[in-house]
Amino acid sequence: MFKRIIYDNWTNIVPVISFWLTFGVFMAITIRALCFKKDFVEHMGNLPLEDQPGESESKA
Amino acid sequence: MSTVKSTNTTTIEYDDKSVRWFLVASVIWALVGLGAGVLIASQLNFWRMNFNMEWLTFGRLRPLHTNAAIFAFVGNMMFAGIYYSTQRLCRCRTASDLLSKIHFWGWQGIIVLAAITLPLGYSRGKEYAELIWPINILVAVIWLVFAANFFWTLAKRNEKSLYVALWFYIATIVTVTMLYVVNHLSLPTSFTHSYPIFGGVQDALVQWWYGHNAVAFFLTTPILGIMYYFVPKAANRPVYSYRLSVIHFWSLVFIYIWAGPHHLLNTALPGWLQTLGMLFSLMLWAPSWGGMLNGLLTLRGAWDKLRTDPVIKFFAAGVTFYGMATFEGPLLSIKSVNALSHYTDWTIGHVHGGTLGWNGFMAAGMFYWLAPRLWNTKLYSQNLANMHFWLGMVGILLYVAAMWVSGITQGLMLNGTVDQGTLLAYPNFLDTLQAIRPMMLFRVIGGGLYLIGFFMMAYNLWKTAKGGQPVNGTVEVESAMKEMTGSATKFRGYLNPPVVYSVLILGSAAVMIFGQGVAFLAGIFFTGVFTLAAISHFEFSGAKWSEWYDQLLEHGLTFTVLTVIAAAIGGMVQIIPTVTMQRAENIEGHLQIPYTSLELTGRDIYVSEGCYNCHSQMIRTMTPDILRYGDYSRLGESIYDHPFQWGSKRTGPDLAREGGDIQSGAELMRIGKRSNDWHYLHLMDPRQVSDGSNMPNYPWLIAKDAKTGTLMSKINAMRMLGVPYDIGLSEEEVMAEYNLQANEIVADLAESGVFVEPNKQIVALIAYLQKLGAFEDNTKVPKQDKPDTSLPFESVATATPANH
Repeated sequence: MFKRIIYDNWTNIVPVISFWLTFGVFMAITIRALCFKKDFVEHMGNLPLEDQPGESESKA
Repeated sequence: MSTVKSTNTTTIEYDDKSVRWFLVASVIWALVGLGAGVLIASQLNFWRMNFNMEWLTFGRLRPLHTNAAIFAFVGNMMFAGIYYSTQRLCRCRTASDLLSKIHFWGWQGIIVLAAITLPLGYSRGKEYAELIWPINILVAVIWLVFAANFFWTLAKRNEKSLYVALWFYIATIVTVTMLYVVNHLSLPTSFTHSYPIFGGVQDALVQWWYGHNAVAFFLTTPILGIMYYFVPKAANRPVYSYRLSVIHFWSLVFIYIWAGPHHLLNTALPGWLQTLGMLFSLMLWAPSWGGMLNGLLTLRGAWDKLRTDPVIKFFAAGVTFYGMATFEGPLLSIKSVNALSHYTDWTIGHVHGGTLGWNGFMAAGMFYWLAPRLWNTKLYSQNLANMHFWLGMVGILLYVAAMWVSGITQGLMLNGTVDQGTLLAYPNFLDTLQAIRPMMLFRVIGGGLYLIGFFMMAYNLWKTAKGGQPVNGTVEVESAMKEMTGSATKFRGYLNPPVVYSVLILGSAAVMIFGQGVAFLAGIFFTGVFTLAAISHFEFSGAKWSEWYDQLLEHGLTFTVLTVIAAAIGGMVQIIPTVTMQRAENIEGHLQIPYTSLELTGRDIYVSEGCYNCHSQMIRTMTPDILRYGDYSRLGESIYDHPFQWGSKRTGPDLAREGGDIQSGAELMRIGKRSNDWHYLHLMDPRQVSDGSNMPNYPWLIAKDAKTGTLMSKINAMRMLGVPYDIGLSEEEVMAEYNLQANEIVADLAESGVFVEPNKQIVALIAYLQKLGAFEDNTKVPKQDKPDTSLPFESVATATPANH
């Protein structure tokens, strides 16, 4: 397979395929992210702050 | 470390002791790494700062500086941030205190070993991958200890979903493992020496796949994770856009891994790889800036804190530097811009904008935020922290501006031509070096200011710790939470349709690519079938992708597997065809002539001294480079070089065409562009033959014997890696050839009035320099009549045509 790729100059098309593959993944993730439910987004965005009230310290 | 308070809640005490240790270690190593940086920057301007001592030369200390900055300073900072935030995001203590201890002491042990071996000249000769093979194994083991501890903690977490910071930590752990293992695959020849299994263009591609992604997955993704945790904490505001985080993460992880070849533009690397490297580097603009904007906009409404809170100052400036560095990176990856910037200080300025501005400032911000909480007190001095900020900022700006001016000046001078491009405007390389000396001095001043700032931080943190007492954070967790994340959901992540279909489609596509005959046809068939089945299932089941994605975020292992796949695709597409096809038997045109045993010994000395830090052995396909150094380097000319030595920075001239043909009347001795005594003088005192050179003196080369005890095992290792040495070669024959060539060089030197013993290192090094670029042209000779390029060396000497 790779011999054919090299000898027939198929390599020229590899960057194009790679670009569209990446573009597809990027678009799929973007669409997915835009479709998140609002309450889920708010919960996840606040996650690092949510444990503050219950947090305290003890001597090591 | 948990106590049941009532039937419903459990109090969990975090392990913040490990966090304190990593924080302290990071600060100490930062001072060492930055101090080494200031010293080697001084050496470039004042050659006497090399002190004529072998373990203090630029070539040996530069790897110490880079390794200390990357793995010791940022590494420990990363571990401090990860250990602190992961416990809180998972609402549970780190899984194993023992593993945390092994991780901490193991990592410090590795750093100490690196700090001893690198100045002693034990090096693999690959940037950021210089450590010798026993230390590589230790790194892999300790990294796996860290990984085990982290994933075990994730498994016992009391929080249902994985927050963004944890995604970046996961990507860091799995991708660094993959990169480190592949790039460090070596064949040992002794306890302190090995040859990388890849050679020439393969090694170049694998090295920069690793090198670029060390920047991506060691210096960027963990710090982005830290940004996603600590910036909201410091600003007391949620992350600006969770949706943007999702897009940012997946696109960054998927795209970054492809961009490595942008370090090899205009070289002998195949064109399609150069195109991929440039294309994907440009695409990186989007996710990088997505991350930067998300970080900066998290500070919305908290900008007033900039005036008073040094933590916010450091974070805001750090994220801004991330944006600037990731704007400049794609710019430098444009092939025509790279023709100017590559091999110059512009690249150095770019890298330091990222390291000092992004990593250094994020580290400082995190340390100032953490220290009062870890020692239950207030920061000793806000004023001192503010002063550190401004000193560091002025230092960075001086440094980066000096390097921009220096890089563009030298690039323009080196590429400048007159008479319609037929002559070089500045034919003397040293003229370009003299022109940038003032800028190199500004670099020392800028770096020095930045270092002073870090000393102030170390003092401030020490006083803070002294004024408080170590405390561990605690959190109350509802017992019911544990059940929620228990075994009921254990396998749901795997069994969700997108994951199953993805695995089936990728598996059958792999069979199609790698298979022959029936397997190839079956691969095509099943790829089509599974793709159609996936579409049909989605259409008819009515299942919502959001539910599937939520499951993914609740299932760490599935998330990790998908991250590995996303990160591995780019590397596989680039590396597998290169490793498969770019072998010596497939090369048409220039094919490298293997090194003799003396030349191989000289090459190992060259690698050990770190000469690749200043000299390239790759002449780019650009007219000014060809006018200056000679015919451009072909892919086959370094095919037997383990490791490749194409370099990444040009402080001295390119050496790819330094060598020459076998001298008339000699059996093995070659003479290239310059005589043997010129090389001798140049190594003893470069200024004798190159007025104004900043190269160190190498007096120990005439005092120290070249090591020949492991020569046979080196040749055997080379043979196993595909270098055509004669299989029946005995040790006596190898040494006979070694002595013959060494004696020829010694006799030639004696005619010029230079007397040296044949067993000294300098003789081997001269032999190597006189060999550089030697090749046979195998397109002119019919295949059946091709000369035998295998050892014994007489056949090489007599059968190969001239290389110049």
